[in-house]
Amino acid sequence: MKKSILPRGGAKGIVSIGALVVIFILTVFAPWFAPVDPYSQSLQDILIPPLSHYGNDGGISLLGTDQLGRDVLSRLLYGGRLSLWISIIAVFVSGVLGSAIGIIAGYFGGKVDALLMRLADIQMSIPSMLLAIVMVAVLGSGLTNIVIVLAVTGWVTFARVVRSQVLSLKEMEYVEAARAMGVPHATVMIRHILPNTWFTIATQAALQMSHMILLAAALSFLGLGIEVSTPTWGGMVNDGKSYIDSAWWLSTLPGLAIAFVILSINLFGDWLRDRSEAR
Amino acid sequence: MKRYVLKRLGQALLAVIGAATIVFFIIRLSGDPARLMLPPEASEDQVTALRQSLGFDRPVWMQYIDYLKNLVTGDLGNSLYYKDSALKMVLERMPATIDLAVFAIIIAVAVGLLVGILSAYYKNSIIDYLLNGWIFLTQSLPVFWIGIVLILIFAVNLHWLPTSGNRGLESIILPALTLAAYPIAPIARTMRASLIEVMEQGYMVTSQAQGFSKRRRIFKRGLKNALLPVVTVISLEFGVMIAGAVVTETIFSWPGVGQLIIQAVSNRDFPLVQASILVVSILYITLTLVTDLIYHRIDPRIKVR
Repeated sequence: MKKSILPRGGAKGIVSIGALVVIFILTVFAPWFAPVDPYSQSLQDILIPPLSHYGNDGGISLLGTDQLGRDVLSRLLYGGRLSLWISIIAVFVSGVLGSAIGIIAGYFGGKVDALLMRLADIQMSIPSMLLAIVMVAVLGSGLTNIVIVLAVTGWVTFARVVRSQVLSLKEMEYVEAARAMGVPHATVMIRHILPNTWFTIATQAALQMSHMILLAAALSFLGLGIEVSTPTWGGMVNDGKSYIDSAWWLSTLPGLAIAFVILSINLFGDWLRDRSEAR
Repeated sequence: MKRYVLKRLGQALLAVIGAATIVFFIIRLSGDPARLMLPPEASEDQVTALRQSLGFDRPVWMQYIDYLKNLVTGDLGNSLYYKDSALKMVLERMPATIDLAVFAIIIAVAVGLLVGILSAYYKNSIIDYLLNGWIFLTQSLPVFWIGIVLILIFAVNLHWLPTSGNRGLESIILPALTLAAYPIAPIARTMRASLIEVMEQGYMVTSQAQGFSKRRRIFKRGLKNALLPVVTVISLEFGVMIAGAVVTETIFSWPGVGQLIIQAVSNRDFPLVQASILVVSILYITLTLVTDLIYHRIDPRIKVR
């Protein structure tokens, strides 16, 4: 029985889902919450620390401004929206791709299985960070390419987990019965096997989500993400790095935002896993 | 045993060829690798010249065969930017990366084992919960953020350690701590789980009945038997670390392979990018292979998948 000071049992679910809902609302409705335009620069308000006055009307900047006088809070919210979108789409694409491959490999077994799983092994022999870097370098940066790169690095995990579950599912009597009645393979896979792997896929998606956010952030941190002026969390940490001796908030705050999101997602994933083990 | 080793060696060789193939085709994904390797303002003549000199105008399958042939002889092409052997450049940078990874793995193993043993020893107590929470937290922090916060605290504010570069022992401390932060969690978790499992084994219960103290039982008998799975995790994490050093090396301007890759990417020096990734992947595959072989030698029940 795994225990920690973190909320346990149902509380773990409530806390993590609550945090995720808050993050979701704050970032999806970023234009409502952001105090100013995240792109608007102001030369007289450069590098203002958090909680101090700025502008001509003497308003308070909650999280300070950056080297171009842009509001950090606004950029954080917009950046969060982008970072989360990228990861959600990437998890979705790699989840669909990986689960399909996993079901096909597990269901048919034999040579198909050997071929697909060997392919997965081979891809895993290149560390995913390096694979992502070289792919972005060749394809170029930009939203679609980042999503493609993340999805390509992520499918293997889904395929492996789903495959191992399908291996046991296909031995079930109802699957054999369906086959005996002449139900085609595709229908058996979609109607009888897929519904029983939902829980596994969902748990894996939650775990992959935090990987994707970290990988996407690392890519933008290395300057390989979206265009530089677009706010992303990794990019903000990178921008702030040059001002680390004078403006601590530029790098640390976006990093904290990433950490908070990852923590919430990991907690949620943990809760899902506990539930699947309890079943 | 012999059959296992041969089969496992074959798999590793296949993985190396597979990795080389993936890198080969990724470089050609854009359709025109010569254009990719030149700055946007390069003229059409320059592109044609490069295409011919690197052989991109030949059929892809011919390029692929030659690429594999050259790979066998250790020829990974020349860096476009430095006009020097790409393999030589990567190997020159390798020691710095290995130094960093070795330092980091020592830190991660020391902290990870300590945390794992403590939380197994004080299982389900407040100490166990606190350590568990801390481990959970470290897995949520982005590596580059940890690096920057360490710089902020120890270099900018306290002036204890340098922010970057490779000037002796004190400049390796911050990058090593950054790189060590992540693998602490898997090491600690495996240590805890393995030790708890061993403690419940029959022979451990017997030694309890014989009146040995808990501490004596853990250190004299438990640890020895619990370490095997931990050793596997450590050696796998070491491989991951060498690859993950890209980010850490960039933060601290550490002159290793990771920094070389990022520089090569920004110079569009793809032969160098390709060589670096291949060398790191081969190292990674070899580490996994050695781990499996050692594991098999200690515990021959493990079968090839």
